[in-house]
Amino acid sequence: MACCAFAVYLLSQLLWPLRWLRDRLLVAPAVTASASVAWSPASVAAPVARKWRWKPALLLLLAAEVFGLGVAATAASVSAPAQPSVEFLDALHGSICSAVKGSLS
Amino acid sequence: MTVQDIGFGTASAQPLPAQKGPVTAARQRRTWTIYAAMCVAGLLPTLLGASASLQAAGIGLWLPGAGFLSVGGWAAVLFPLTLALFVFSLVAWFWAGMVLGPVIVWLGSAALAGAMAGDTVWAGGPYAAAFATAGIGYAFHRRNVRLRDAALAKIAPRVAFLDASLAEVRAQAAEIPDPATREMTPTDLAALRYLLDRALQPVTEWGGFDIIDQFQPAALRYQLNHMGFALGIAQTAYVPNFHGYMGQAQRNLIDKYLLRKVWGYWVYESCWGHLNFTNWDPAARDNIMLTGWFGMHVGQYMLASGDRRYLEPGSLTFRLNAKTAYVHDFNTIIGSVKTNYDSAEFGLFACEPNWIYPICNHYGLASLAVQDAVTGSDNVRRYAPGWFKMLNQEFTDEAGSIIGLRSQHTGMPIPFPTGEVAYAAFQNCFAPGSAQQQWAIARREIAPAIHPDANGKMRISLPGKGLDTGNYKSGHTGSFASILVAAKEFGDAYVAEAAQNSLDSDCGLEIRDGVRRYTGGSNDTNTYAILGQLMQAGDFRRSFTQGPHAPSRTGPVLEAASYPAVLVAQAISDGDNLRLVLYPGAGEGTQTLGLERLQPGRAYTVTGATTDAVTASPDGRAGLDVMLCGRTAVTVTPA
Repeated sequence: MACCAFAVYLLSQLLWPLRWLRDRLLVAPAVTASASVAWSPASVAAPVARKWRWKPALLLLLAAEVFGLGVAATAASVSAPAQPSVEFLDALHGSICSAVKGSLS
Repeated sequence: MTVQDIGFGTASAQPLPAQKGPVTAARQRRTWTIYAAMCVAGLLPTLLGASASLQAAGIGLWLPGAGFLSVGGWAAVLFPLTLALFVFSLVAWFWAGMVLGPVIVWLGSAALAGAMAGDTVWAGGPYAAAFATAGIGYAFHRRNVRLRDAALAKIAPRVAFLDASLAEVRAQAAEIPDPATREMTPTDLAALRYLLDRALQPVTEWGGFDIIDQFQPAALRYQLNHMGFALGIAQTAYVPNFHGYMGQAQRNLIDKYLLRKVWGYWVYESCWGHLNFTNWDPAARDNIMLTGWFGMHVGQYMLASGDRRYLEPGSLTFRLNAKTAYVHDFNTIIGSVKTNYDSAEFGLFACEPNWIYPICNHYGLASLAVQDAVTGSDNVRRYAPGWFKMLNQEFTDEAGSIIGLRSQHTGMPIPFPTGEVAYAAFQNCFAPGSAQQQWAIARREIAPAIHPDANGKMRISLPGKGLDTGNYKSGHTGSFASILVAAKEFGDAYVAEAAQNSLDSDCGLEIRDGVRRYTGGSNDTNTYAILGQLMQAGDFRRSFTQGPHAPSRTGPVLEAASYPAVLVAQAISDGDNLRLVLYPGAGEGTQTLGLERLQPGRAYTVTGATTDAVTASPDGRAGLDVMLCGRTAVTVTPA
């Protein structure tokens, strides 16, 4: 439980830049000319490059990350091998390990 | 040629005798001692047969995440993930001074490994951890050896060319432009308008600025500083007797700098870097990236304009909120630089908590030179010798180049792309001889990259896609602009022309509505390119250490002219007269000018205006109507 929770947390941290890159590359086309440099006083409400339009989303994401950290820490502190659920997890891990080992052998 | 002949921070004829300065060596010994103690402490639970939790946590002290190897099973997957996270935490440390990041990841992962351990640990865990630790250590060692070999390989060529190159640099740098005849070209004015458009908008508006993050090179503060530098050079060299919108633009930039939006990053860095949760004064401890740069900026404005308002207490106040403000002025900001230098063990001090950048310390020492020029202090005499001694001892590699970045806490150097080109112009503000040596090296090492293009114009071919530090995109605008600034400062027409051609050809030159810009660059690198375009030999140094030529400081000034209708290419004085060169910026037509600092009640002869004579009012003012049609020269001379 604890390792899974922590792994998910770590993965979420590691994948965040990739998700951000994917969003940038696939949703918004790459811009070669700088919008800020092209700005002039005559351009009414000209877009300034990279405004923090996704700030609410970022805050939500950070909140989720903090929550994930809390789950990971809680899971780590309550983790006990003797609990019945661990048998299920062991079995799950065992089967995955077997599958992985089998594919590698 | 010996090390002593060459000077500080430049090439040496042989490997420097002490490859690590005493402070660096002591700090690195401390780092390794702490690490060794962590390894020993981490091994003890295993040797003493302590609980599995303690054993796993102990192994976790060897390397971030290594404790998961001792936990065994699927937990081992967390080892590489933790290492990756540790790298990210190092980036956060570097990026924003988040000192706590790596500590939390390393110790936290060790604690978590201890918590995850069952009744026993995997017996192979300590061996795997030791193997991984040794492997990573070996990889770093190999890298260091490669870097050292590369640095050593630079020495022989540098020694071979340095004497001849230095002689050429000295000759070129001596050709100083005549301050009484300087005039901006229409191309210069088109570039200047890029700056004025941005600087003259209301202080709280940010049209035309890159707003990405406020920690690293794309931060607003650097854009503001470089815009200020360029305007200050234009004011000093070409229009010292034009105040009006030129002065307003520079003051607007200073006012923008005082907004929390610009300096508020220091609140965060103080908390997670200094563990200081109460006093976020940006001009107190460290933060030379603010104090040194802003000090140069404000001092240059005062020197160029003669305006001394920023010497007044409270004139540069950083307001946090309605209740809290950090009250400063030019002298207290420079005072912060000096106080930090007084207690800096490395001789240089940090930008973000822990990270010492010699380039920012060049701004810092230059800010002391500006204070000398503005107030008559003797900072450079007091601080430069010790500063150079420490730069040479603690921040110079085997080739004599300045190390770009060093960790204050660990003593470890970090690769950071700053070379002789970047240092040369700033060093010229306080150590012209050493600066010329920096450029003498840089120009010869740039030379192989200069080739004629299909049209016979010299161009610089730089490897790779480059990096624009002003927006983190690819591009060479910043590199070409840096080369241009340094080449202009030392009067190197050949390299300057190649850099200007490269900018114009490769960086998306666009001239629209009378404004010149490089659409392939960021706002910051555009600003630096404009700075370079406006410069001639010695302009950078003069604008920070001397100001305009003496007669102009007391002569009449053009105070009122509308922007962009009236573009001022020249505004100079011999102390009595006023000579203007104007261009229409919004179509030809008659424009009204306001003059000040005339001799009260005195009659003046006028040429180039709609009237042939004016008489100054009792407070030394007068107005003129001028028909602007192309280049329009106006003179106002005592009758």
